[in-house]
Amino acid sequence: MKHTLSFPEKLGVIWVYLGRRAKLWLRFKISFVFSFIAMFVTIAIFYFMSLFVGSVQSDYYNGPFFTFVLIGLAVNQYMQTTLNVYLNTMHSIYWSNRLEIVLTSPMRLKTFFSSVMTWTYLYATMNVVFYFIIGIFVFGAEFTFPATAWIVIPILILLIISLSGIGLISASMFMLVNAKGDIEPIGWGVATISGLVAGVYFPPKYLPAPVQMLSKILPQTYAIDAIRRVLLNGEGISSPSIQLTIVYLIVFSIILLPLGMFMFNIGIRKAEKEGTLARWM
Amino acid sequence: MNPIEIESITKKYRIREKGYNWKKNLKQLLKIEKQDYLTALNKVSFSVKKGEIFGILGPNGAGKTTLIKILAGLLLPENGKAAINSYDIFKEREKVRTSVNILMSGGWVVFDYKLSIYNNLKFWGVAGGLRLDEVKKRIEDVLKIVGLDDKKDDFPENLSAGLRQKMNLARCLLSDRPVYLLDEPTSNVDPYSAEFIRKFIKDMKKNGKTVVLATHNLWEAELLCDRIAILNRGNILALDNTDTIKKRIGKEILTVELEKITPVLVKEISSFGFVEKTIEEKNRLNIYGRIKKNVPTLIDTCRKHTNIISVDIKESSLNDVFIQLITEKEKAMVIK
Repeated sequence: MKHTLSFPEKLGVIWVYLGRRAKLWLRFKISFVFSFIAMFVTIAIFYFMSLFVGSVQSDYYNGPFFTFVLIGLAVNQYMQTTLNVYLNTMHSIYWSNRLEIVLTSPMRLKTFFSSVMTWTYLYATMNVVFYFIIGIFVFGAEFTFPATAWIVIPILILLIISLSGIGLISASMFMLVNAKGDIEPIGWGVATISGLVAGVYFPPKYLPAPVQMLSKILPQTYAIDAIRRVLLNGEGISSPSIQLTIVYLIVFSIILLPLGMFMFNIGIRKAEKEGTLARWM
Repeated sequence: MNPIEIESITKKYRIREKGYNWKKNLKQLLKIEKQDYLTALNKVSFSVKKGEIFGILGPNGAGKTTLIKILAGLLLPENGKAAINSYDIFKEREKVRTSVNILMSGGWVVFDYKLSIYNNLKFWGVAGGLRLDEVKKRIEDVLKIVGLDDKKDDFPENLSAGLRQKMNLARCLLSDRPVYLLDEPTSNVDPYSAEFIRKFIKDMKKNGKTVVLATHNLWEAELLCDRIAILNRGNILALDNTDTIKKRIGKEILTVELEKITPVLVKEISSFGFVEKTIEEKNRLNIYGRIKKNVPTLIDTCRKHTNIISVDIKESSLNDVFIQLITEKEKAMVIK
């Protein structure tokens, strides 16, 4: 009778989960092909749009819009993934009655979430790599990938941690206010507003001043800006704006992640009390 | 200490409105608006010994599943005390959860229909604590136990309901735990599969496992359970072994086939203190009550009025007792 899993056993769970998801993914071959076609079309749309828009002029970059937006699209993949993964997982395990089985296993919810997230981020990374391959080799996007490019990874990790807080708050609404429909207002609101204000498609400086204020309270605005500075301008850890971004992201993480975890735990506790851990009683 | 000890467990559910009202839910969450509750379990107490099969019987909505989920640590009661395998359900919920195996009716929905039985079980095996190098052997063993060893590469979508329940049972068996909580394990399965599952439950007992079986199949409960609790509207109406319950609550019935039944005869029979009621069926008179010791008196009385063709005496079945208890309780509710 095991109550918890050791670290290698948890890795074993993640490993088996990845294998299981990969098998399912490959089983639905048409969906697999269509998702790649959709990504190709998205990149193509932005390429032809860039022919129309021309170049972007910002504080640190003066070059083609296509290269600029490609970075935005790539970071957006991780952003959307993080905002949605917790709620989607709750949806999936609730509607399939798996939540109770997960809770009665020694892997517990954390390892299950880790398994789902590992798969989801691998998938997002594969999409990002595909974006860059198509962008660079088919549509001729110009990237130099400076020696400082490694700094993108800690920035992305900090972005994922801080947005995880919002993702968890969004997932907690599933239990706290019974938000079991397709749209949960908090996660949906942040994801939708991000597209407008966080600089995914254009620099936020073009927005009206009050809307720009909104962009400043979102961690993704800083992360997207910093990643562009690194990849387009060759800035590194010695750059004050990169340093400031890292500090902002750490602050966002310190505030949002514990808040998200706290609300999520309250949500689970409420579901345990109300008997809503499973779809059917 | 017994593997299951519960005392004065009470569980209430919030009464939900039809549809989804985000605003109202938020108000109730912030305690701005009051909520209405339904009592699902009312001060329920019992204990289950090691190696015992304990049945929870009750009509739909009696609180059986609620009780099973509380025993599994998946649902928090409002108050009371409960320890499962010596773990407190309030303070050590995670240990409670991992010390029981729960099998829900229709629990096979947790399987991915596009993955083979083996691949489905592999994940739940490692999630249950099996190492990667031992999971394959364990899956083969449990599939053999449930009789699915020749179907390990089949997909759940191609299996019948009975085979799916066996697959569910196999998942349940991957982890060896001392307590099994089975919620209607034979519902929606064919008689052959149901018989297999019943035999399996008996084997669990032989292996020293403690089994709690929630069911509304009274025949099954009588066959399998050492003791039963009859539950209705969250209250335990009776708790003991089936024979004692039948003796204590059930009635003896004397059926006398007569040449003719007269009102005078029925009146005289009904006047005895040990007779609770009489029912006439053509030329048969069914006499209910504490009959056994008083058979000669009743026979003599009948003989005084008419000729007796045949006599038969029987005791209430568990089904009769169950219906009697539930009906009495429902009547009492109406009177209140």
